[in-house]
Amino acid sequence: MPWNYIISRLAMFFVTIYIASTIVFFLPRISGQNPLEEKLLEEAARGGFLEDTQAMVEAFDEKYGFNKPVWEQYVKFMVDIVQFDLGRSIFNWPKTVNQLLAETILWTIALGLLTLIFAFIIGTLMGAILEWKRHKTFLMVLMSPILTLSAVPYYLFGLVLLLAFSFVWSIFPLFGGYSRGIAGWPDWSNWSFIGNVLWHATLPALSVVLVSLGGWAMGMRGMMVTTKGEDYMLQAEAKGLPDRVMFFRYGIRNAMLPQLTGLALQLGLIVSGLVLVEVVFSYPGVGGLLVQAIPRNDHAVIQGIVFVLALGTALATLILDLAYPLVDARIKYSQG
Amino acid sequence: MTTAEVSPTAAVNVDIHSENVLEVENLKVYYDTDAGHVKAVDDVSFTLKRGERMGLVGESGSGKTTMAMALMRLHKPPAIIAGGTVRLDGLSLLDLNEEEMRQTRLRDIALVPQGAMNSLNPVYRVRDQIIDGIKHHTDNDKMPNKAMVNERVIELLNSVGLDSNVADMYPHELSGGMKQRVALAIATSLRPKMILADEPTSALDVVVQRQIMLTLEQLQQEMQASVLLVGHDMGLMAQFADVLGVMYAGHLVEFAPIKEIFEDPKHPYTKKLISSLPDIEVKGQFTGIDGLPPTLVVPPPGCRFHPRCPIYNNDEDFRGEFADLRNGLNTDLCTTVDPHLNEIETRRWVACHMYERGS
Repeated sequence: MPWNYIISRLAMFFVTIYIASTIVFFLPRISGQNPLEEKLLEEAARGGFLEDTQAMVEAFDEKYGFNKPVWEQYVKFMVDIVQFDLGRSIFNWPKTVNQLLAETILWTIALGLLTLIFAFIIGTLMGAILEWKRHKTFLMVLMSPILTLSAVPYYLFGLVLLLAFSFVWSIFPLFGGYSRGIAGWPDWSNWSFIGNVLWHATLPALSVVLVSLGGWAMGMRGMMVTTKGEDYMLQAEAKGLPDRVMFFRYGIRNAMLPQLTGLALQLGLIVSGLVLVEVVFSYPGVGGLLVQAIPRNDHAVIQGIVFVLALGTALATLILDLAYPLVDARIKYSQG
Repeated sequence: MTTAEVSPTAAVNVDIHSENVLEVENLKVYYDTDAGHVKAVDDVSFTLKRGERMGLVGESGSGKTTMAMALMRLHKPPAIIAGGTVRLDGLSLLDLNEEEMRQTRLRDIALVPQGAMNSLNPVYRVRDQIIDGIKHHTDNDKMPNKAMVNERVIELLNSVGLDSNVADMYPHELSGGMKQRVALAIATSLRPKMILADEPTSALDVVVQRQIMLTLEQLQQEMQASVLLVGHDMGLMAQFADVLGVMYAGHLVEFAPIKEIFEDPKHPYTKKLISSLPDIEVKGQFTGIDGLPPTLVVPPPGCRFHPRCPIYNNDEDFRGEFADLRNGLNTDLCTTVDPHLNEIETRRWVACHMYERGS
C-alpha cells in the first residue's frame, strides 16, 4: 500500500473529525437556551425563590468565556478538544465530561462490542449454512423467527424479555449494571462481582443479539447465493475439494467481504445503537447519560458524547479502509 | 504423488484390458420442472478410446454442456440423472458415493472451465489453488513436504507455459489466457485419464485460443489422457478432435471420426451444420438451418429434427445428393418413431431413418 494513500486517508480522517466537532460546537448554540439559566430557573421553581439568577448566570458565563464572541469560543472549544478536554457537566457539577465518560463508556463498549461480535459470528455462520444446506428443509424453519425478530426494535424486544424473565419469572434482575448496596462493590478483582455483572448484562445482551442476528444472517445468505453461483465454486467442486473446504475457503471467505464492511460501520454505531436498550434496562452506560443530558440541556455532555461517537465511527472506517487490502487482494490503493 | 491410485472399492469393477476409457450408455439427464421433465440429454451413448480427442458440438440448448457436467456428476438441481451408465476406465461413476466421486474428480476426470471466466478463487494465490486440489487427493501421511509441493507447482506452471512467479500472483493479476493456463495446470495436476473441456477458449482472442489449444494438445499427448471438448466452433473441432459427436435436442445424432464427418456427413442436421460454415469463396451469403430448436418439454413426435429436416421436407438443395436414400425412406417413420443411433459403418454412428432400411 503506497504511503501517499495512507497519508491522504489520514488527512480525510482529520477533516471528518474537524467537521464533526464544528457541528458539535454549533448545534447546542442553535437551541438558544442557556443551560445554566435553565438549571437555576428549575431550582428557583423548586425552592420557590432564588435571588439574583441573572448575576449568577453572568458570573458563570464570565468565568467560562460564554460571553465572548462566538469565534473566540469556537477557537477555545477546538483547542480544548484537541487536548481532549470536553468541559464540565452542569448537572453533575463539578464532574468533567471526561470523568462522566470514563464512568460509563466501558460499560457500553463492553456490552456493545461483545453483543456485536456474538451476533456477527453467529448470524454470519447461520446465514451461510442456511444457503449452503438449502435442501435441508428443517433449516428453513429457522427463517421465520429470525426474520420476525429482526423486524422488532431492540428496546421493544428488551421490554418483552424484561417482562418475561424479570417480572413474571424472576430469573434475571430488573435493572442496573450490578447489584447496588453491597459493600466494596464495584470491585473488578472479585469474581462474584464479575458474575453479578454478567447476570445483569444477560437480558440487555440477549435483546441485542437475538434481534440483530437476523440482519447478519439475511445479509450473509444473500451474499452466499451470489457466491454459490460463481464459476470458481463449480471449479472447486470439479477439483474434487471436500464440502467443508468449499464452504469455508471458497464460500464464506468470499461472501464475507461485504459483511466485514457492515461490521466496521456497526462498530462506530455501538454507542448510539445501545441508547434505548440502556434506558430500558437502566444500564450504567453512555446511552443513559446521553438521554439524561438532552432534556436538561447539558450541552457539554451532549457535545462530548456526540464527539466521541463521531470519533469512533471515523476511526472504525479508517481501520477498515487500511485493513481491507489484507483480506481482499483485489483492493489496491493507487494514487488519487 | 501424481500417479492416481485406484481406491480399493473401485478396484472391483476395473477392467484393465478395456481400451475404452469412457463408456456412456443411454445417459438421460432431465430437468425436473413444474412444466414436466425437460429432456436435456436423452438416451446418449458413445465410447471414447484412451488418448482420443472427442469434440461435441450442437446448438445452444442441445444438451452438450448438461451432458458434460453430468459425466462428472456436477449437474445441479433441478437437473437429475434419470438413467444410463457412465464408466470411466471400467469404473461406474453413477454408482459411486459422494466421497468416492469427489476423489475421482481431478484425479481421474478433470474439468477445464470456460475461457477467461472467474474460475479461480479471487482471494487466494495461484499457488494455493493448485496445491489444494493435490492436497485433498493425497493422504496426509503421503503428502510430500513443502519444498517438493512447491517444486511440483512450478513444474506444472512451466508445463502450461507460465513463468514460475505466477505462483505468487492473485487471479486478478492475470490475463484471460494466463488464467486459462492456470486452469489447465490445475486440471492436469494429478494426471487424469480424462479431461473435460467446456468451451475452454470462448471469450479468448484467436491468438490466445490457438496457444491454449496447443498447450492442451501437448499435455494430453504427454499424459495419454482422453479429451472431451465441448463447443460450437467447427473450425476448432476440425483441427483438434479425432472424433466428433453432434447433438440435437438432447440426442446424439451423429458420431464419427472427424475427417469422415466433414467429408461425408450422414445426418441431415450435420450436413446442414457443415454447409452453414462460412466459405471464403462464397461471400455475402449466409446459410443456416431454418427454424428453431424444439422445446424439450414436449419434443416433436418421432424424429426430433423432422420439422426442420431438409429430407423430410423435401428441400430442393438436398434432392440430388440424398435422392436414393430419400426414395427408400418411409417418411411416416420420421413423425412417429424416434430413430436409434446405429453404427452403419465402422465407428460411424448415425440416428436417422434413412439408414435404417435393413432392419
